[in-house]
Amino acid sequence: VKGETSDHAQTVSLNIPAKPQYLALCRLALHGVATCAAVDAPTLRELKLALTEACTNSIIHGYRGGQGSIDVSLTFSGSQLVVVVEDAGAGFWSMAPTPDVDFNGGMGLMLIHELTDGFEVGPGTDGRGTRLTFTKQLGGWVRPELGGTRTGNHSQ
Amino acid sequence: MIGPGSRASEDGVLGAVTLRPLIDRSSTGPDGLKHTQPSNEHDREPRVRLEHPATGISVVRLVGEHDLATRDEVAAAIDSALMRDVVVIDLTTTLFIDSSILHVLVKGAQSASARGSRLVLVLGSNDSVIQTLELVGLLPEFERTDSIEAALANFGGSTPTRDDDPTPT
Repeated sequence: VKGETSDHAQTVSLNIPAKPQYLALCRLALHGVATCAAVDAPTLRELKLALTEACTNSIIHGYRGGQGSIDVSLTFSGSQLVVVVEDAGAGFWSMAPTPDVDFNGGMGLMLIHELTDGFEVGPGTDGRGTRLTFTKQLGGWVRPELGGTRTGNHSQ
Repeated sequence: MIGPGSRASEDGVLGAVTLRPLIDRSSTGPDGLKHTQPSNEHDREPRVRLEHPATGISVVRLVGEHDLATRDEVAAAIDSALMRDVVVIDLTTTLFIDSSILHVLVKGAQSASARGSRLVLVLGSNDSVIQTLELVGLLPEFERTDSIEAALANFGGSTPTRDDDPTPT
């Protein structure tokens, strides 16, 4: 796990083996970072699900159960969180998200679509694998020390 | 309702399920004192428990967070439970499920329908699981009941069987 800071954003990133048992670690990291940013519980629930689905896609479709690793980055910028999940697998980015529930695939992308404020899927670094990026507005408030601003109601 | 699926517990193998028992939260520490671990929001360890509280009814209880890592374990427990007439999936202490588990639940309901049995979800007031089911439009597709007690009252027989015994009666 490593962190980067700029004037307007803070990023926490981690690299995990592309194995299902590390999905919980991704959620745990997200939970910790989101707690620092005072993300509310319902939003955190949605983020955990979206992140899990993104990583699961990399495991199943990117590496097809084989060896590999997944880069995850969580960037707080303004009042939003930007999540990037990238693998160097076979590349599933050409799979078009479907609005219908398809139990043979596509439910993960559909969930990410429903849970976030925007996402895009494309080729990874150097054209290899898949890079999935999604953004989430964080209830209009992120702690200023994380680059956030007050843009909405907050009870604290 | 979810219609008959393509798979109806085709292996039918009982005893092939490896289930981790619920942890006894009262453990004796090195100081010789009893320590009880809290059961709260931070208790994420996934556990699957299969119980047969009454004749003809099985309860599959999912505790903690469940995803692709526990998908096969959950599927095996439901497959085994489908040997009974009624399968109750207790999700009241489930902290997280993803599409992998949703897929297993749908397959389980389809298998139950194909066998002429029933698969019933107990959600309690679990907002996390309810929200996930709602997001994909599956909440109304499952038969649901309010509590394990209600499930037993509505569907359970009168003769309890030994806990964690996967053998059908």
